[in-house]
Amino acid sequence: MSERDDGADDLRERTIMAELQRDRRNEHRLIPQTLIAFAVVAILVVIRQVFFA
Amino acid sequence: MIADILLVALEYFLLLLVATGAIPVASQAYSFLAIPLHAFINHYKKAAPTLPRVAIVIPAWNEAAVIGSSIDRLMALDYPRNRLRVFVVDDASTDETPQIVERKEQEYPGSVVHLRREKGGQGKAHTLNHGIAIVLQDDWMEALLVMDADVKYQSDSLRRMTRHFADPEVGAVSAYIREGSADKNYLTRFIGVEYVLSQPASRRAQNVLGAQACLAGGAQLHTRENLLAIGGRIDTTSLAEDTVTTFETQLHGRKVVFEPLAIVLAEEPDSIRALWKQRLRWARGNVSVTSRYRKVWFRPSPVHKLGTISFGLIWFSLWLLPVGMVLSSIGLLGLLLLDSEMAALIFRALWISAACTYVFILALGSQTDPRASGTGWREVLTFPGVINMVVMLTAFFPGLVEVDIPALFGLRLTEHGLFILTVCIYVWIPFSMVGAWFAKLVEPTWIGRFLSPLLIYLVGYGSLLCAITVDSYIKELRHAEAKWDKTEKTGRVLA
Repeated sequence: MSERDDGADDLRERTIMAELQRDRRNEHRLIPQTLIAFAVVAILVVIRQVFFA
Repeated sequence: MIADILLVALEYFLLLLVATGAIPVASQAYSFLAIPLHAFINHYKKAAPTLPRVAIVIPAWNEAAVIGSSIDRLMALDYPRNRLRVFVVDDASTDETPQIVERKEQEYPGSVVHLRREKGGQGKAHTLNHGIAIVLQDDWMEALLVMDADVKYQSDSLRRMTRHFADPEVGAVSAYIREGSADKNYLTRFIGVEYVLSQPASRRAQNVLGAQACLAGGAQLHTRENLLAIGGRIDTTSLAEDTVTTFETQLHGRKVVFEPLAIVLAEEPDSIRALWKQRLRWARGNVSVTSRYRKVWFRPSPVHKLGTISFGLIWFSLWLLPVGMVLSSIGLLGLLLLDSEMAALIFRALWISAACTYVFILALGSQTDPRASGTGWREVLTFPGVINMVVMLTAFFPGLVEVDIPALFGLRLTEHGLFILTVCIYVWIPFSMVGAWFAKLVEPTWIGRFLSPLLIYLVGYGSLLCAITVDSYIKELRHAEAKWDKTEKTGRVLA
């Protein structure tokens, strides 16, 4: 394998590693997404308690 | 005295029947509550850049409309070309498939191989096995990608899958199949929403629980070691060969990982009849899988997590959902006829918990793929069915449907009218499945063009799936022939 190929492979590996770390960090978005979903349910429950209890 | 005791016993029995309807709700809530844990419990920390030599096997029977563009997409993957080989197993196609694949073979020399079975029609598993036997003849292949002829891979999808093979405990990786038709109709949009809820949402939860129910048939990647461990071939005795492969991988002690960011686009049925045919095949396959692995359920094992109580509940609550819903309605109706005070109370408890669960599922699930959910926002809002939503409103906001809304029109329900309305609400679920079946029945007629979509919006897409599951029970009880009915693809996914 030539030096150029080695360089290309190294670059590819670094790109994939960066992508992997980004994807791992992005999974943390699930926490605010869950909180939003809970908030939607909470709004419904509050409406029920205020107007229909 | 004895009559009183019998009455109390009957009341408890009916309560038990109603409670069966709560099991799927609780199971879904449990599954979706596990999703945020994927922020911390995921496989990314064990993943690393890994680019094995991948043999892609595509079973193809009369796929002229889609096969050429699918191959082009594979050749455009952001993956080293010298590490990719595509084997198209042409299952005695009678259309232009062989000519198209041969042209692609010349266009991509050494990367595309055309394999022809002169005697075909035995089904997908047999066709795949023909290709797998050939790729196993030498040691070039390090990983096997099984895909459908119509699916279109996003350029980064394969490398996002292979990175999990850095962990030697992983046997297989599945991608996210997104409904990708360019000309969507109401049904493909509903399927799109279903896929969002069942894949980037639910399968993340299964990653957390450590047990996957099914590798996507159109995008499953196996290590060579795993393929050899499960017998070097795909099971041919079941209509749910993907599920069998998934179970066998995990029973042999290897992990199955769902990669939510590896996205592939697939063409899904655009008519109820085509969807019914496809899902009936899946449902009947799952019946055979349930029976085949009867010694796995609810028996925890140190080797795999298929036997955990949580996984068993998830599996059976989906499979037995229609049974639970019907028993629940019978219980509610029985309590109402007994004039039990419990009827209204338990109806409210059941449907309020169902409403909260559905709202939570739809709110969280739709955020896991905003693009697909955005395209089908009407279907997200009406996913449980408009009438089911009215039933939920009745439970959630007492008096709104029975008193407040009629009062807007100067109406007031009599006691008799209120009783009839209550009966209708309690028995609605079984009737919603009949409504879905009727939508399928009238679909080919001129009136069906308008009535079928309207019915599905009214009764709900879930009721349609439940009706298909009921049909699978009936077919199994009648020992109807289980044959491979291929879903026709027309090339609606644009490359």
